Amino acid sequence: MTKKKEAGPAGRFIGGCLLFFFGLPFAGMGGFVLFQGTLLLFGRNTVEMDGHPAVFIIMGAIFLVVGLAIIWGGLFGHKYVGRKRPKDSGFDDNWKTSKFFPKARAKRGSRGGFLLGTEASPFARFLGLTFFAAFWNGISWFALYHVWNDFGSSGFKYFPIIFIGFFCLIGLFVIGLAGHALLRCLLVGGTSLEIDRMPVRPGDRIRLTLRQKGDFEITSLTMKLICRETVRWRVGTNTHTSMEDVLSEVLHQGGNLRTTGSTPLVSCETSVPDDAMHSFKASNNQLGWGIEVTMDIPGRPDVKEFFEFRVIPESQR
Amino acid sequence: MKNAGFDIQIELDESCPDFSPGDRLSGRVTISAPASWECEYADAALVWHTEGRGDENREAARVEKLLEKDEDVSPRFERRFAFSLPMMPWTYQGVKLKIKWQVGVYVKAKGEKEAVAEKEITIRPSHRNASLPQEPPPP
Repeated sequence: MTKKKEAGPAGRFIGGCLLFFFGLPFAGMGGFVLFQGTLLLFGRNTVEMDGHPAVFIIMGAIFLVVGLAIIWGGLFGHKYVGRKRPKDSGFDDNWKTSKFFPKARAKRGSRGGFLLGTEASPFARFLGLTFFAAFWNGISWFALYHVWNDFGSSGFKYFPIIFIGFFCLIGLFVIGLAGHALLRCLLVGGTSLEIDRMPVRPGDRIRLTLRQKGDFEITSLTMKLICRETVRWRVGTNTHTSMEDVLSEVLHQGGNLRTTGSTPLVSCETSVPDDAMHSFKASNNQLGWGIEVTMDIPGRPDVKEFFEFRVIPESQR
Repeated sequence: MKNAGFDIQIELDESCPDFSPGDRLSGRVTISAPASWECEYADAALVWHTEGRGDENREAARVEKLLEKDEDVSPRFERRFAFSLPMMPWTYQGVKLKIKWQVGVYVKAKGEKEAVAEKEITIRPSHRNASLPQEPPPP
């Protein structure tokens, strides 16, 4: 493992200053273009501007927001924790209410167990992507339309077309992702996993039942018990995430299955190791337990879902 | 440990720094202060924090005051502290994430920098010592 070199207070201060001064021209230029674009809308611009006011207003606003975000990152993005006296924050010893444990959804399954949740259902993923695609494409295609319209009046300008066209291509890619999510909803349907007990202690034996809606062939299906570390760190305004599966145990691997909707696709049992670490969730660091299900389905979007469950400190059950 | 003119020594009553959740941890702190100083705070705390690739999370689970603000003490003094250890999070040695516990003593004189001394401990059920996930060998 390559250890990330931690910046000291001086390094963080210098990094913050660099970001601050990097963001200034973005915010300044964006603010100026936004201001002049607004004046142009009323025919009162003080500098000569060639184009539709909406283009200047939108582009100016985007640059202003990006610039302000970079400045904010420079000022507050390098939070130095250091070795200062931590405050007494009312530490919670009870796992039922502790912030260390992700809140569990506890819908009952048909076998009397609990249905495990995923980060987002296929439909929620489709809705989110659709909203983002509409927002992104609305701005970028609107801007491209107006720049393209200026072709006749002010001559063909390569740079704005290429610049805005790049954002439009990203927008098309997001539409593709939303379309894939829609196909996942329509052609594959919901995947559900039922666990016989919740929460789980280290050493507990658990029974799992996998169901898949719809009626189709599955070429291959894999279920794995996973213990996953997820860490986040910030560099300026960017947040990076990295994951590591510290335990990955195949519970079921098979092929040539057919879903019928009502009958379980797979039922299996496994144990959480006796020496397992309990689930842990903090703002930048997490350790989660779950079941990863992957399905290859011919002619339809494949399935890859992570169903998380909580492992509690054993003596607190 | 010497810092900001203070010499702070932490001694635990238990010789082994491995504890189980719910155990009682007690010890003694000896502080040698500059000849004249005004106390802003002097606390002993039980602190967990993360190490690894992610940004640090850090929190005090227990805090005990060793001195009151402006309390007069001799330049060298001792105080005892005792904590009941929390049930979680356990000490953990993962690949990208490590969770560590320490007893820390934080002393600050008015107008001076904070002086800090920390002693690492482990909190985990006793039978788990050998089988936590191991870090892979360096390439």
